[in-house]
Amino acid sequence: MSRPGGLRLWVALGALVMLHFALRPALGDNRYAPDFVLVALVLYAMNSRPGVAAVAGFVVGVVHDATAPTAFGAAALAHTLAAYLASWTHTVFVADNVLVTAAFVAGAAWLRDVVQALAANQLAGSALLWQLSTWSVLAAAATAVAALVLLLAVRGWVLPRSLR
Amino acid sequence: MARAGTERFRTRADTAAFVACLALSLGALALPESLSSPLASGIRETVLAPFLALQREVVRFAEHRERLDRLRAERDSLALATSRLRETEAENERLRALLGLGARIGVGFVAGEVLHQTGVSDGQTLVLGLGRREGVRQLAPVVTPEGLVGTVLTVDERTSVALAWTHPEFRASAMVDESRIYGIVAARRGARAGEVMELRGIPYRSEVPEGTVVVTSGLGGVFPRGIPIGTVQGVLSESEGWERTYLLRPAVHPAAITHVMVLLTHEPGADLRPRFADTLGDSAVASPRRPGPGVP
Repeated sequence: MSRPGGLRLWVALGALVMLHFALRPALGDNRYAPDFVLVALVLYAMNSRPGVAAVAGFVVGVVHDATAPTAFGAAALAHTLAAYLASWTHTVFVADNVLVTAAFVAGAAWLRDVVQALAANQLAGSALLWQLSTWSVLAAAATAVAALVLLLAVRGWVLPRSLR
Repeated sequence: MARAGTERFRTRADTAAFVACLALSLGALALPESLSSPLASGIRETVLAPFLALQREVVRFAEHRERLDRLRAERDSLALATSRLRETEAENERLRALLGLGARIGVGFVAGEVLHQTGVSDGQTLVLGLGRREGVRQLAPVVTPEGLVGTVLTVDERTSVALAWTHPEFRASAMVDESRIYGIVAARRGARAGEVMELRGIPYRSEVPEGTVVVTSGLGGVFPRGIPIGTVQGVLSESEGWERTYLLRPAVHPAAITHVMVLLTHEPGADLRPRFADTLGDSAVASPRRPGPGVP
């Protein structure tokens, strides 16, 4: 596993964070717009050791929690799990294929939503089912498409050496 | 041998970091609001501030572009089709409602953007591009031209967080328009987010027909009287001889809105029903209790 910190990786991650706030509001309904920060987090996790990825996920999650303070900690928990599992499993499940990597991002996005929804405990019954089976799936698919576009454009910048 | 030892140490360190992050997350979940709220506010005002400012500018830019397009379309329509003056007037009214926003409310409000975030909590809490600088204060009512959105939960210098009516902790004192039937409105837990709400605690003797508009009652001191909340869709449940709970179709879907108005001041006893006359009139089309628009 290569060490994270390559300048090009950081440029790509920074660009994704900027896109999240600058482009995402213009991409239609918020409920299924792609989550560029999650793409950045998963790509960072794939380039890092699981412990570092977990810390990164926790930091991103806490910042995310600041926008929804009634369930403070739920996003931190969700992002920590998603980042840790992304780092830990990518060597096993992710082949040298951008489509598989994009699907991996979609899985992380959906897992993040599941954990966050359950931890926040603000949705229940059909609302929870509808959120996780429809909106979260659509958002995960949109996030995967964003990851796919990024990988097709700058694959060599963001994937660990073993997958380039 | 040394490499294997180093790798084993790293693996343990990874696990320790993961467990520590999980523990911190669970600790954050257990924090009382008196601690988590200032912490969240601090993050919004420091780390997130430039990003939220960027998002606000992008939303404003998009709004200006949309407004320009609409105004151009409106100008072209007026120039080309004077025979369709009535339709144009109706369109103009709609645009005024969308763009002018505050014209109906008058003084004591500030309009701003909703900065939607990712995740499942968006729509239950909303980040607003308005803060202390604009005069926003905690518990200020948040509305759109169509009706009630929620109330301000926390206020930062340039942003604030609103608790939308879809949040399970939200409650509003409500009354049936044009009557003295009072109840409490809350989101229907378990229903799809933003789709329906409940009107609870209506005395059994008071029947509320389907299509009746429900507005804020003005009791409790948070919301002024007369902000449309929703329209009665039917009886949800009843405790025999005691009370009924009604299902309401909300006036506003928080997850779908892009702009809101935060009411800064309202006189005690103020009644905003005349300000929301269009919405109340539209809703009243289905109501047997009120005449529709244009009906004397």
